[in-house]
Amino acid sequence: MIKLSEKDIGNLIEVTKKKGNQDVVYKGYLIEFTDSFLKLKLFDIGYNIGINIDSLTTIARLDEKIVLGKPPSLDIKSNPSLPTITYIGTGGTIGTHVDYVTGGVYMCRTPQEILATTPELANIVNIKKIESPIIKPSEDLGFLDWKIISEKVYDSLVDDSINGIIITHGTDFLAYTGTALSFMIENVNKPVLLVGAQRSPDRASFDGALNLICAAQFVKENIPGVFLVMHGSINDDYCYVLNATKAKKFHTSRRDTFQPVNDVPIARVYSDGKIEYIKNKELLQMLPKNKPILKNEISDKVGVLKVYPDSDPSIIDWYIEKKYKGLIIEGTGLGHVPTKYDRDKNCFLEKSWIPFLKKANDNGIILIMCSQSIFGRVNNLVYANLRFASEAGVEYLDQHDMLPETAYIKLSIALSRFSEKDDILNYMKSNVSGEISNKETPESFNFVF
Amino acid sequence: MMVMKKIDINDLDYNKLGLEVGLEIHQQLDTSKLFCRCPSKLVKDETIKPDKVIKRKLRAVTSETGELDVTAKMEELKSKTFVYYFYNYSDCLVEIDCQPPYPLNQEALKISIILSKLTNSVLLDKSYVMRKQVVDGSNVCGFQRTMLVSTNGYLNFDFGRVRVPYLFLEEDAARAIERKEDEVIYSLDRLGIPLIEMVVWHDIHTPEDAKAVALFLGQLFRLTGKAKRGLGSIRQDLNISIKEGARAEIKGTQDLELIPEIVKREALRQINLLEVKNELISRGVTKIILNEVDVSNVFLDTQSKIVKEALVSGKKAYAFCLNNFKDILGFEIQPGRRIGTELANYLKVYTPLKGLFHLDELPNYGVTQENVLDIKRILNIGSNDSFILLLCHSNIISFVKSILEKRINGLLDGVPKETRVITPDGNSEYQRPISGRARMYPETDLDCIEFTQEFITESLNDMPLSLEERENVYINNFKLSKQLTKKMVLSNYAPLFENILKQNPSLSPTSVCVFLLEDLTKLSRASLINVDDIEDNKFFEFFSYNDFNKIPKSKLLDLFVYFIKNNVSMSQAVNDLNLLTSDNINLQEIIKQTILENKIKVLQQRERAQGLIMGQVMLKTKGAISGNIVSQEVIKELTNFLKNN
Repeated sequence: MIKLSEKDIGNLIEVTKKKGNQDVVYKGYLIEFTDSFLKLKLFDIGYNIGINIDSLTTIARLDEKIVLGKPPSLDIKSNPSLPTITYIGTGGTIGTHVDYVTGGVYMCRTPQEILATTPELANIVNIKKIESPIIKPSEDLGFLDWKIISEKVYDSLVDDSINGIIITHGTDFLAYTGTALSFMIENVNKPVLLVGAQRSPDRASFDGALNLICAAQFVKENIPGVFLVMHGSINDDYCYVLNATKAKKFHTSRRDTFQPVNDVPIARVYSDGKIEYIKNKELLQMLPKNKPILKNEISDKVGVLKVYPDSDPSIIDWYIEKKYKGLIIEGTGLGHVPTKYDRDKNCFLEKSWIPFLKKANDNGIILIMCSQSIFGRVNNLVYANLRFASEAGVEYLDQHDMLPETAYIKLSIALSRFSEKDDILNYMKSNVSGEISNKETPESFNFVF
Repeated sequence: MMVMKKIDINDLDYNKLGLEVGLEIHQQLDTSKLFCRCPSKLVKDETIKPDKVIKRKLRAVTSETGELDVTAKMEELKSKTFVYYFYNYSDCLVEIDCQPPYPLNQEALKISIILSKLTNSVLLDKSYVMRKQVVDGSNVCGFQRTMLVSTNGYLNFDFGRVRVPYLFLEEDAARAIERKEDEVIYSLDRLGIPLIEMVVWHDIHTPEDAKAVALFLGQLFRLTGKAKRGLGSIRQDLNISIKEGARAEIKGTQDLELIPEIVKREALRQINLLEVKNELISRGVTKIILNEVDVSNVFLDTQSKIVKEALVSGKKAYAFCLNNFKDILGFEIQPGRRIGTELANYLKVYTPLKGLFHLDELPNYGVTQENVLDIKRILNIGSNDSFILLLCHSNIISFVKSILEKRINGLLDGVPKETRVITPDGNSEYQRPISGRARMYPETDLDCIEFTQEFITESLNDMPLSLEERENVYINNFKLSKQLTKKMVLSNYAPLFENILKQNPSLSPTSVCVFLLEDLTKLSRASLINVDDIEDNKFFEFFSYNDFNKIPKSKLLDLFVYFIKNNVSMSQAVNDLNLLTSDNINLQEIIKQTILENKIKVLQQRERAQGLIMGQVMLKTKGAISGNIVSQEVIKELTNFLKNN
């Protein structure tokens, strides 16, 4: 009987265990072990099994070790006749690699390995620059990462030899990163396309391939802006190009998870390069008059608060105490908070949010109202309760229709750029990157559903 | 040059050949699906429009060794679109790879534990669900979920012990409805149905024993009462080899009767492939290198429709010389199947080509003797040589050549290890290489499955009776006839039958047995109802009806059909069919009236008039009241009448 050590991981072993009146022999590669348990990948059939070690279990070491290959990587050849891109890998499902023994999923693909999942790219675009400043699942990304990514993007925007930028990224915060780039870089003059996947590349049903191919196909259109390119339907037929500031992840697992909110997609892109515009192509093609400017300072003193029935507004005191500078309020419907106004006594009852919002406003916190309804604009006038909130200092920004996620990033950036409240609010009200629509049509609600 | 001998299929000495046959039996379980909670029910009517049609592509993926899987790559070359028919009734987002799997179906797991016990297999301590890569589109996500449940089992037969090394629980694949050149249409209803795969080691040595083992295992599955009934619910794969041959895994056997023929024909194929190998070696053939020669010009004025169409569509005619291959390509390896067929088979699987021509079958198909002579001249074909002719686009000819070259060189090795699929006549054709462990990796979306003592004990509570125990109970407790017992013990309905009687001890076991075994078959044959679709609880409701014994036997089948078809409660059905409206008071009146009408005869015959009155009352009530009840009431009324007269 041998004593297992870390060195035995991956080694072929033979475990004999008494089961009833039978001696059962399991031969396989050791995956993990404790004193009382071990996990094997069976030698003959490749299945993983677990064995509880008891006093009658014996283990023998055999002279063979499992050899695991690395994922293939794409050998990138230059083809200047194709649109030239910079590729930036940041991690996410699209960049995961399955450890074929343990089944663990790791974010460890290099950009070359990600590109190898979709070798067709080499026939559509000329990949000139490959960057991989970060490898993280998207839910771990934050301000510092956006600063780094925005610098990489900016470098390529001012590099005349580059036609577009493709960024692979996890889907959870994909729209957040897209929105951050939309505000951190002014005068974006090239397509900056963010691509993710809902199914990992170890599967034959990997959805990221179509997303990558469609993003590559869209580069040649020379539409400036920051966009998401993701599955447009439940089929593997086309992708939608979505304005990053107007896109939201709506489904935990479907491949067509991203949908436009108060907006329609820019275009439908097929893998063969066919493009159907939904928005006006001529308008989209207009380039900014000035050169790109990188302004990637961002304040980390903005919070997001969601109201809910019987919610305790005293949480706002915590934000005041922690010296927050801005709060996004996810109100209900047109932008309500629990108001609880007693008309007879002319006062706000217990758990009314109004006094707390007023206190926050008096303490200099910028309060921006967004709606939990997701679709539609907020309004500060239709109901009396809306007016109470508005009078307490909550800003409805001329009845905007920004997503709370977008408003959060925009306010964080505004607070780092301006100190005067008027300047901050002016910035918030202006349409910087398509985040506020000037009108809504029937199509801008549930366009895809 | 030697002439190869032709062997009679009915004259094989299996002992001498070293025949080894193993089985893989796949049985669908009658539970909800394995990784979601959709019902395991197939959409019966193919004309029903799917609720959604979903189109997907699959990609070649890397296996754990880091190289692109060969089969995967090949399939991708075909650039197929997979079309999936989605039915809200039987499918959800899990089937279309838009949602992670739900936790494993515990009922199916319990059945797999019971079957492990029945096959003397040893349960694992813990198991992990694995992903087996499958890229023919039959699994939307590109892999099949499967787990090992137990190992080291065995079963004893007259001819000896047969080992059952592995028992797996896995999900069934989608059902192919139509295969076109560039797309395959699948119905998703079957995807995810729990399957038990039982591996029977190649301890079987004759074609007939293979059938006997398959038959026995089918019965074993049915013992649990949770085996799905109906066509396609059980599928056998056969592993067949002879000494010096190699394992051929033959898929798709549903008809047990065909098993001996399949085994014989595969043995014959392997004998003949070995014959070809020896012949080629004796002719001094070593490595075969193919060189394509464009012979399109030979067919400038061809009358062959097939060649003409190909050339017009931009294809070219290519010929390959095969030195020392005289009579090899036309050599028959199975009845009606030649070496040429085998080569064409590979091309069909891996390339867009539909087939090939070879010298041994020409002139034919509009290819003339003159064409043949031209090709022979161009290729410089000698009297011991042969050639292959292909119609193919020039951009894929080198790929096509590599496929052909691989298989032709394989002839020098004898029998290749491969997965084959049954053809209707009992032959088989190539499907893909045998899949190895490289196509397996862990399912990352599920937890490990632990076989705790508590769970095993709980599972074995539902352990069915063995065949002997069952026979004993049926004859001694249920008093079934030997003939009915013999049929019922092996029936899918046995557990249901037992449970109905357990719940309703007042029922006559024979009646219930006849109903399940004979009446249902009648209804099914008359296409009155689809028996396979009826849930067990419907049977329980039917037989547990309070006044079941009062329902006239002659009306039972009508009642059952009405009850099932209209999906109503039993009391509703009885009511709708007016089965109990003639209550006992009316019956008494009718009997009294009848006695009076026959007063003279009754007084003459006294008690013996019972039959006469009974007959007339039955006529009057048109069988709406059970004969038992009529008979009881007639005796009562007759006694009353005679007492007073």
